[in-house]
Amino acid sequence: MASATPSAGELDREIIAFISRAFGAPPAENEFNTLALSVFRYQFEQNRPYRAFCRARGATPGAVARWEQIPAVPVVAFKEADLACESPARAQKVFVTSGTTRGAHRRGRHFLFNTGLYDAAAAGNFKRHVLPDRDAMPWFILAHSPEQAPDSSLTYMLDLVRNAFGAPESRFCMSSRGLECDALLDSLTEAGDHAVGLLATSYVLLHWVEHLQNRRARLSLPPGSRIMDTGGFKGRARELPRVEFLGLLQRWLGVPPDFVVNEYGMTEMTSQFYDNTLRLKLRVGDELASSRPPPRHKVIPPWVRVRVVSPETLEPVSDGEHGLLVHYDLANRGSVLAIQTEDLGMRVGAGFEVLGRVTGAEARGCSLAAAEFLASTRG
Amino acid sequence: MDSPAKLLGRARWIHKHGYWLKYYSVEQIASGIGSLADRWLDPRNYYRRTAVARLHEATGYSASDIESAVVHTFEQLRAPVLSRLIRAELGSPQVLDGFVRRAGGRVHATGPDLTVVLAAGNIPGPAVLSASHALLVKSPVFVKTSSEEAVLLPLFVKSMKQHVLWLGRMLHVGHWAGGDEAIERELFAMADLVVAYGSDATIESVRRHLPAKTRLFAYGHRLSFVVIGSEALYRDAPSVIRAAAMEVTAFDQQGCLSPHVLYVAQTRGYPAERFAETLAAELAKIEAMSPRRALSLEEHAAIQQIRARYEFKPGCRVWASSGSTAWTVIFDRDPTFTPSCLNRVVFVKPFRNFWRLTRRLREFGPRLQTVALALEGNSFTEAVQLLADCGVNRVCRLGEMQRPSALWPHDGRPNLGDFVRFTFIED
Repeated sequence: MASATPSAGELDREIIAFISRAFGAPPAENEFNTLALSVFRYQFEQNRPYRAFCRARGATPGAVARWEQIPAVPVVAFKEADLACESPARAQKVFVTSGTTRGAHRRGRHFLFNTGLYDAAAAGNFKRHVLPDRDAMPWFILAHSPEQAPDSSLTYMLDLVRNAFGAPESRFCMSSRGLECDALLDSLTEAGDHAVGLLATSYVLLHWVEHLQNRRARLSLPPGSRIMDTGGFKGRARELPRVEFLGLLQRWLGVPPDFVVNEYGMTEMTSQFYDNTLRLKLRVGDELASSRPPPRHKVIPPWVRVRVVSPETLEPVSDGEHGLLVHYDLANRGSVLAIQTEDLGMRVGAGFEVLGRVTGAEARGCSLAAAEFLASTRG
Repeated sequence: MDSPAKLLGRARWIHKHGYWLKYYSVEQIASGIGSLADRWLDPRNYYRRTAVARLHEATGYSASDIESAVVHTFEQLRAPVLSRLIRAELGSPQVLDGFVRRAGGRVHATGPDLTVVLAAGNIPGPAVLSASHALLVKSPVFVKTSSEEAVLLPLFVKSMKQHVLWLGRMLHVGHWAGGDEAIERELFAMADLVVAYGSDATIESVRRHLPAKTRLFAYGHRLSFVVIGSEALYRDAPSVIRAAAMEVTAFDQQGCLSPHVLYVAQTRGYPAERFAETLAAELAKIEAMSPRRALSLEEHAAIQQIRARYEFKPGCRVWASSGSTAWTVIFDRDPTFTPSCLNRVVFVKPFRNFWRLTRRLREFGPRLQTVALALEGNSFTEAVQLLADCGVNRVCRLGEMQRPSALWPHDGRPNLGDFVRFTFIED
């Protein structure tokens, strides 16, 4: 007979402990599994919409023996229901998805009941992959500040990084009118010999680089300077290949591709994924034990699991095949552990790569798909 | 793909020699097309068998759906049907051959000097009809096949050249990339009329590239649905559900004639939710016998997304094939019309008051097309007036959505009537 379900507090303590040990002493697979099932039992009991979802699939705590069997909630569900394990009114923070949804649909909401848990998942992972070689750095943040975007999970994370690993001159660089292009340019021109860091949403960074191009102002940031970018280009330059973007950053900022770390995350998930490239470049840690360096990929932190599933069957695809990314994040204790994204990806080495959103299917001939229709009638 | 030079050479030739068609009477042309149609209606005919086999392979639609579509297309091209169409829309066939007495004078109808038809890729058939109607009004016609389906039109023109050469040489079928200015600039300038089937984006692009003198018939995005009344459910719910299921699965719901939504009257003896559940069982049966074709990753993902959205939306229920995206029924109390992502995904929405329902449909007016009604008596009479006011241009029985009458003014406009221009001699 199973023991009583742990409380939220107990679970959070266990998860934070797991996370703290994780990089230093990677936990065994069955430790992850046990904790994941514990979280699943708790979420099944406390999260009403999730419980209905699981019941419809015959996935009750008694029936689920492995984390792979935990039903994954499609991200769109966050727009339709409050997927919370406690009363939303008790949330310490509420993250809301960015308003790119068309039509009358609500924006997705993710309730955070313990910012300590979020911080534990975010800080160490960031440090490991973006700042493995030092304790702090000046960060210039090309994203909205907490005052401007109080419900953005990205802003919250970047502010956390600024507080935990930021030299005093770190700051957010957006005003109410947008990015302060010239002010940022001035600050960086005066950087001297000390390495600096940029934390940016990709499309704002691209916008700034275009500004530099217009000014014909090439920067040569000091050695050790690095960039973390995230979020995709959101329609500004959807066709811009990553390689070209990295080329622009090298040419106009003097930052080589190995020092540009892409971050992949989402409002609905607590943890983040980072490229392995900077760690490799700086020859940190034991990934270098083998003679052949692994290909570039997103690193899966030890408290997360990722599966790639066929959109047709929702079963895992064969190695090398593309499919929908499904994330199992222990740090998502307050909502749902398992999330089925609308991102297409594939396994690469020990991690994975994101290939892009699975966009709505194009209408053929005179028939009409929902997205196009909504676009045309509701603007 | 043919070279621009070759295509334009061909277009110039039929444009220049199109007047040869005027040496024939409309009865002769109808007879010529009709004799070809009769051949295609013979199940043993080589062209028909080849078309069905190749279309099945190219599109993935079931062989029976394709056979139905091919048969239905050529049934509309039989000589007696074409004669009826001419009489219904133009009064008498002689109006195309010479001057005919009309109120206030005499009138003569002339077809375009060159018609261009841009075919869509989803359902085979409509472009064959448009091309045939053009020939019928003595217009030479130049057809562009779509990249997704280039089977039926080439076989059609080949059969016409074999059996009715004098007509066949006035019809050319070719392929080029849509938007290719090297071809379209001159071609659109030569044409009096362009008939375009396709997405809103395609049609907008065509419209932008047409010179002012060239008319455009645009057959774009359309929405169709079904309305089922209480009497039909009381009388024979299983038949109604079977017919509805067939409408949803025909051609995997692609095409403007397929229903996105089934509006079901909230009936004491037969709750709409039960209708949805039974419909789901019926779709499962059809899947076993006649599986839906293979889809792209994006199409699968769209189905997963719509399922997930409605699984969590309050007041909704979803029945879905397990382990696949083969079929989906979404019960939603919200009466607002919602388009489906198709590929056998259908909404069932209950209604109490039809008038209130149609008020919500008005905003989609220009997009509405076919409504299949399973209504009786007064309900039917009231309903059709309301639907007409909303913008619906075709009302049919449940089960007949995929087989429009030859006499249906396509998307609300006359088929032949709009092709021609009239010359009027005043008394």
